[in-house]
Amino acid sequence: MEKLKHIINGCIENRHKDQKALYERYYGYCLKVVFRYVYRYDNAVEVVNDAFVKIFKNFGRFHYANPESMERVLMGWMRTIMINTAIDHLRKEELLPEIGAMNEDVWQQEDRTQSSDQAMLYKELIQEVKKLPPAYRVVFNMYVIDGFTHQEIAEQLGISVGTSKSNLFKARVHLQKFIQNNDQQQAYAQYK
Amino acid sequence: MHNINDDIDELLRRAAERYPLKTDGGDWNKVFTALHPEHPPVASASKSKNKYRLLGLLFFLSLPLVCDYLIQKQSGQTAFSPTNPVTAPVGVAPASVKDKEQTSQKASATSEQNDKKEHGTLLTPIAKRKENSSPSMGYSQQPVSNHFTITAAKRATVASSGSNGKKTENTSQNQKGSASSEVKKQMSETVSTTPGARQSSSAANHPAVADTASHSRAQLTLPSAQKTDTTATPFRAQQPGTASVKALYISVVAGPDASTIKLQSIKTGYNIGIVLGYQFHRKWLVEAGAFWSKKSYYSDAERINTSKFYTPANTKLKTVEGDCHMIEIPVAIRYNFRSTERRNWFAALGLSSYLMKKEDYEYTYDSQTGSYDYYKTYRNATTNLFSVAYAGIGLQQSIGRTTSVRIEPYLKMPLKGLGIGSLPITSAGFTVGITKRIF
Repeated sequence: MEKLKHIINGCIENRHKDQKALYERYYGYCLKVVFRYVYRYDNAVEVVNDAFVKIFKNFGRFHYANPESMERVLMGWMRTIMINTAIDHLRKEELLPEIGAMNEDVWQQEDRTQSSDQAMLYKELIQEVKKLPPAYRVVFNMYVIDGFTHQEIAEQLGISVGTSKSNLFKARVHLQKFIQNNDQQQAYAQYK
Repeated sequence: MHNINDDIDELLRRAAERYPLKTDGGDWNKVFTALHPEHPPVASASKSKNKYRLLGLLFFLSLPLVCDYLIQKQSGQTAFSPTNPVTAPVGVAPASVKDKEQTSQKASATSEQNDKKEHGTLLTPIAKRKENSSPSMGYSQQPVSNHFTITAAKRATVASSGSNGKKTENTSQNQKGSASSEVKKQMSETVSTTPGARQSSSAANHPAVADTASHSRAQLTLPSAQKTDTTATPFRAQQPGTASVKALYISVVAGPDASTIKLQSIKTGYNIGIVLGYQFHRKWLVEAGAFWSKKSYYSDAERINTSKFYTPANTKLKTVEGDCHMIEIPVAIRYNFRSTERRNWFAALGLSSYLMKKEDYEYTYDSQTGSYDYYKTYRNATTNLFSVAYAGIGLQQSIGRTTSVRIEPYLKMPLKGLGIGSLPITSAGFTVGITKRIF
């Protein structure tokens, strides 16, 4: 905690060493946030770097009331900037569906903190989320995973609340189908 | 439905936190560059790498000079020591046996006339020929002690007959007539007792032994010529008293290249090609080459002229990174500043032309929505004739009769902007190659 406090103070004072430390500490977390929104891995990396530039340029605006919740507040603040930057990127692409298969090299081969079955499931779920059309994907991510309200989503994307709800419903239908198919296949495999 | 949705949402939230994504590809340099454009784009580790690369290049460029200094110090001689006359350069070889005999006879005739003209000199014909000729002529390189032995013997002979004023006077003033023949006879007798000097005396052009001189000279020069033939590259004979020599050769060279734009970031490439050279003088040569080169470079937009780069509306060009494949045509004058029998140290100066075949650029732009990259390839877009000044210093070492190896560190400075972006690209590196004489 003290180390993080030192890093944050260094970033506020624009010290390069502390900026680099913050970047290296939270790069993975930020990339996972952005990769849910942006289809291509290399574009996601660019969005993360751009968002970090914005974070460091505006670090003077970061405030926390309670030192104990400092990291949570910091991660929430960074996540908001990451999401906004990812949406800007998608808006630049005019929210058009992406073309091409997903590159399998972007996935980690093994994770010792969880079973391989679970890791596979999580990977497949996120892949399904990424396969959603950009408009559905953004709404689903913002509402279900990142906790925005439909009102906030509508303001951010420049759509109506109804459209936001409709997109969410359609995204859920698609994912439910996938999960049900997945369960059936697993049940069939166990039966066999 | 509500429960199912909640379950799915919970599952997806867990998946969003824990899904196995590779997250080790962060590039802090890019973020740093975007944050601090006033600073050089490379991080401190890369900065020190570039410094080491510069030091390495300086080392290569100074290597021939250092080696030359060490060799001179070791031998204790200079290239112009009278006891070690300048030999022909690597590209020049001794004459055939017949040529040597003819030229040695001419030289001896010349020295005979000089002997007759001189008065009171104790300088032996051998010593005199040593001064006038080069070893490529096929003369055996006698140790200095033989010269002094002969001279000392001569002095001893003169001193012993010094009581005879007439002889002394004749010896000191005039080498004509019986006195000179007497001296020469005594000299040959004295010298013949000295094993090392025997060869020298037999090589001398004494009138008293004129008949046997040419014969013994031929005997003497034959072994020398054979010996020299095995060590030097057999190019055309060098005529006594002239420094002119002709040779045509071809080299195949290759080597690494490092390029930079105003020392921002040093990137590596390569050169591979051929060099055709013509030696019109013992020390001067002219070379022309054709290389296939690859150069890589980086620059931020502030340090280059960006007027020729494509810049979309409402954007600002930040950095340019390029790879260029080109045909390079250097033309240079080469000077052999130090030569031994098998080795040449040379310096070269010239101009290069770059014929750009393919230029790949990555432009990084800043816009209101963020930074993005733009890629552009130009083919056969530019030709920069004689736009680069070239300087090199190198070593050529003979490894056979007509073959030698060469190493040449070089530096290339732009005289004007190069490529589609008119970039001031400076290059340094070295080439290693094999040279083959054509004639």
